[in-house]
Amino acid sequence: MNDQHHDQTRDEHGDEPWEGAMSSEFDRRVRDLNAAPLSLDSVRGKAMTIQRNRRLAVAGGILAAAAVIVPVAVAAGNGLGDSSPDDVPVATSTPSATDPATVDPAPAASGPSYLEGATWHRPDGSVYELPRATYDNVVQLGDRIVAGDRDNEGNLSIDLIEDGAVVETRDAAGGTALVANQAGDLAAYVTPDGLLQTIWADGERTLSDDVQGWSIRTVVGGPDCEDPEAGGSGCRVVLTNDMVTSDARSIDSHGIDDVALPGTQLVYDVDDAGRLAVISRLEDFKECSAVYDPETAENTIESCELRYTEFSPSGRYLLAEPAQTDGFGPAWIAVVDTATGDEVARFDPPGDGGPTRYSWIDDDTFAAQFFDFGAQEWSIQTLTIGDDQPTVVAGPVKGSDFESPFGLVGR
Amino acid sequence: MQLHSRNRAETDDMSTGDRHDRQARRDEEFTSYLAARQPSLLRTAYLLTGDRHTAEDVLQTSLAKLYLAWDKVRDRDSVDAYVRRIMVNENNSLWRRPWKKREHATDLTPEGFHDTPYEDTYDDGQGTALWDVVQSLPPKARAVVVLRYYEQLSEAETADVLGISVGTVKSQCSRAVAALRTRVPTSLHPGGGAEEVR
Repeated sequence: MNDQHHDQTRDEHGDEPWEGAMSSEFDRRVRDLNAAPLSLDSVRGKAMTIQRNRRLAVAGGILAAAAVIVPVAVAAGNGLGDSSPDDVPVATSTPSATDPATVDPAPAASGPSYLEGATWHRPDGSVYELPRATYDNVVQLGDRIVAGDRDNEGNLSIDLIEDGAVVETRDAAGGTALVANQAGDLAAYVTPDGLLQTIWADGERTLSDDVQGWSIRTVVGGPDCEDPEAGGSGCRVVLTNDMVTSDARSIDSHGIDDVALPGTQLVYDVDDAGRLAVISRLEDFKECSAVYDPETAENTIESCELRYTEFSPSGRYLLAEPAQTDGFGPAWIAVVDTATGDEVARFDPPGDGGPTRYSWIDDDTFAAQFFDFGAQEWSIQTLTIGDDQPTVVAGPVKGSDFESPFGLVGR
Repeated sequence: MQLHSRNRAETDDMSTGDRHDRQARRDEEFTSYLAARQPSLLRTAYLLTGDRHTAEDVLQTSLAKLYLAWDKVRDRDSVDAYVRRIMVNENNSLWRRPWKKREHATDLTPEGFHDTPYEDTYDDGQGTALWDVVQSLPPKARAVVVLRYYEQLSEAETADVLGISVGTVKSQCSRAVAALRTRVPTSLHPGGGAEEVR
């Protein structure tokens, strides 16, 4: 049957008989299919898995990026638990504008780093206008900025920005993230064809060409990723398998590519001493977390109530969230002493909401991006261990739960 | 040092209570939705995927994503459209996974796994031939014809669900019909092949 024949057929008879035949066949195929095999429990169970995988996929990026660290001045107040957004002190410092063309290569850190549209509120209180309003993380590497730009489909691209303009855009693997080290002077990402790329102020290096299907969990070391035997400072990147079917990997600047910890698929963070915050075991829907110390080859602390997620810069504390969440994300964040396992602080603002992003600013202060479901408001807040009350640094701003006006920048 | 220990218990009670209330409301609403709509959604999932097992997988994932976004979908009249969009995307994404491609690279059917959901005993062959062609369409083209000719969505509604242009909907439908004309035996064409120009 040739094209002319097709056209003749369509002209004389149209598509309607075929469309009708399809409708009839579709109806016939499924008319006896009246099953309802899924229960609320099975749907909720799947939802929890999706929630966990989303967290794994974006943890680096959502919590990730420039960690330029210095103490934060936070006002103390009365009773974190019984305060309301209206009576928490609001930071009064006025950000100073910075000309994008004259980037301060090393802003003196003093507070949280967050994005508000194209405006990057930097740790020193200055603001920097980025070329795009769609970045979800930024890292300042010397006099250039590296930014991760994620679209609605989850695709990630990496912009290199100099003098306020994008000078190069690179594709990165979707579902992964641009992840920085603790000091914020070294970053890494995975390319679509499986290269593990590290980048720093004046150089970059491909650590592996075999990480397709893996996501970076944490970057340790720096400020470069050259082999120490060749005069570099050295680095280590820990990755988890996207399908969580293999043990987490550790790839370092010396060329060693090995499992991070045998039998452990999920690693949330590694501190400078090499201790790992890991999921040590699973109990039904609950994850048990542990800190594993390779020096002693044992778990030093463990909890099945908390999920350990991020070491403080010195490793003295860990941020942790509830091991079991309800689909809305964590309702609160705890601070755990890594020596004892004791909870020493909790960020649990009043109202019906929770932190959607959080990260350390320095060794005893962390920042959280907080959404209040009841008030439908977003804010950036900081909390210092020893203070009773968080400080609202930005907001509250009205917005739906999926459209935050802010993007907290963390490690 | 324990922060906010002074009113910690009260705070936990209030916050936890709010969240439990919200979750209880959500679960109640969602359970009602499941009871009312699940069979219909499963039928659509079956037509999109072509087998019962995959249909249930796709539906479960789609409903889980709906559950996570339940409060976001404030217009309850649009929930079905929301789920249909997720199901289509899920099915497309399944096809992009290597294992799925491998699975479809073989004609072997798992022994004993016959998942035909209907019990109709009579088919002159047209239905089976047509179904075989539809099953061979790429997932996006198949989604177009399922939404148009089973869900009876308009071209504009189909375009909206799939995030494509109306022109693409028209061209995909046209190609699907062309494939049927070409690959369904003439004797089984609608009208007994009378439409063929000789």
